[in-house]
Amino acid sequence: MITGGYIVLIALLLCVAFYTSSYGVWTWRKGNRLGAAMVFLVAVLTVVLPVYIMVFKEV
Amino acid sequence: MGKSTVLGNWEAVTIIINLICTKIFLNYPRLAVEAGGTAAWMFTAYISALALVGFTVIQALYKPFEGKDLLDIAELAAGSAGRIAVGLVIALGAGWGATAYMRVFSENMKLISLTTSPLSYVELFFVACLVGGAYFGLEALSRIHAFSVPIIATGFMLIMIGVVNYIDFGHLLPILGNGPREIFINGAPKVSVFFEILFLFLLAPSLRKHENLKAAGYWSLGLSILFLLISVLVFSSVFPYPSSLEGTVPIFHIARLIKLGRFFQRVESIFLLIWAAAALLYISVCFYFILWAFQKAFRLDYYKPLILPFAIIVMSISFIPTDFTEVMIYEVQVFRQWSWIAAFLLPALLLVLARLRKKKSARKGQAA
Repeated sequence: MITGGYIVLIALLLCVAFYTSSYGVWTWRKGNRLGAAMVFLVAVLTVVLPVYIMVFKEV
Repeated sequence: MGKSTVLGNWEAVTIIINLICTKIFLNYPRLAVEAGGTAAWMFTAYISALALVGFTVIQALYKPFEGKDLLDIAELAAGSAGRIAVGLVIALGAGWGATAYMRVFSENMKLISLTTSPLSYVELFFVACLVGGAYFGLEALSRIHAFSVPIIATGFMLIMIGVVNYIDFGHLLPILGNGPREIFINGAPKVSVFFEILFLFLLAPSLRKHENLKAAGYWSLGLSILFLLISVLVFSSVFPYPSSLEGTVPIFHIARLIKLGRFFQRVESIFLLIWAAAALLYISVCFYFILWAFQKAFRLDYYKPLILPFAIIVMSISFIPTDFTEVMIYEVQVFRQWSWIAAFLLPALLLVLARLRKKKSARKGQAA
């Protein structure tokens, strides 16, 4: 069941992912395409992995 | 790490000692007993000798690359692809160290002292420390190591001396334990216990001179071998084989035996203190190297914006295994079986390739 705590946690994760993506955008604009792509991947994992843990594992 | 970060030999030695020896508090004595039986000390001496030989070869090959770290050498040897591949290998190795040790130490901490706290709450302390460590950088981490590692080593030695009354060298017989084949052939890949020596080659630019790298390597290996040998000798002479295979946290079981009269009991509290300190330092350094390798491999300008996302990723991955027994199975049967390839074979190959390339370009220069 999705509780209020989970919603707050997901909101925080989205903030971190957004902040990381902005670094990716900055890196992209500097011409480092591969570096930017990897930063975007990190931003995606920042949200996907904790959500997976929340849904499939109880810790 | 920044070009301006300069480390003294002592700082580098304490970082490497802590990286290699933290596993004493986790599972090393048990791993050695599993591999060597009553000859666990002989197994330790054997893999130590292999590690010393490996380091001697690598440091000799390193001589013309003074002030260059392993990623610089990978770039010299195999271009950008080499740099990225080696950076990912280092990030994965450090990542395994950070995630596995975070999970296992948190589980053990929960088992021993924070019995009713949820695992995620215990891990938050570790995450806070690794975020702080990465934020302040290598210089701060090295200074904390220079101050804390002697205290941790003293606490460890006090525990070892405290159980002197329980030592029975009869437990070390038969002298060849599980047999020469188990120790010298099947045990050889366990030289991966010294995987963390790899991180010394990342500190090379901060150590500046090749002589410093060499001295720091030999001192850190020598002292680590001493601590590993002491822990295994005490553990296998206090607990008879095969009952020595039963304990989950070997040094904790040793510490619980200590009773110094009516007024000094429960000495394992010292153990908890040094154990937590060693684990926090280990995880913080591994986490810093994940960020450093990622930054350098992909030529990013800063690593600080990646601290929080990587901390979240490391914490999340540490929750994936079902329990800490599963982590220990991966640690002993996979990581400590194969990581010698990344720690010893990979640097040696890269150095040989980089030397060949250097010679080739020198010849071309002469011909022109």
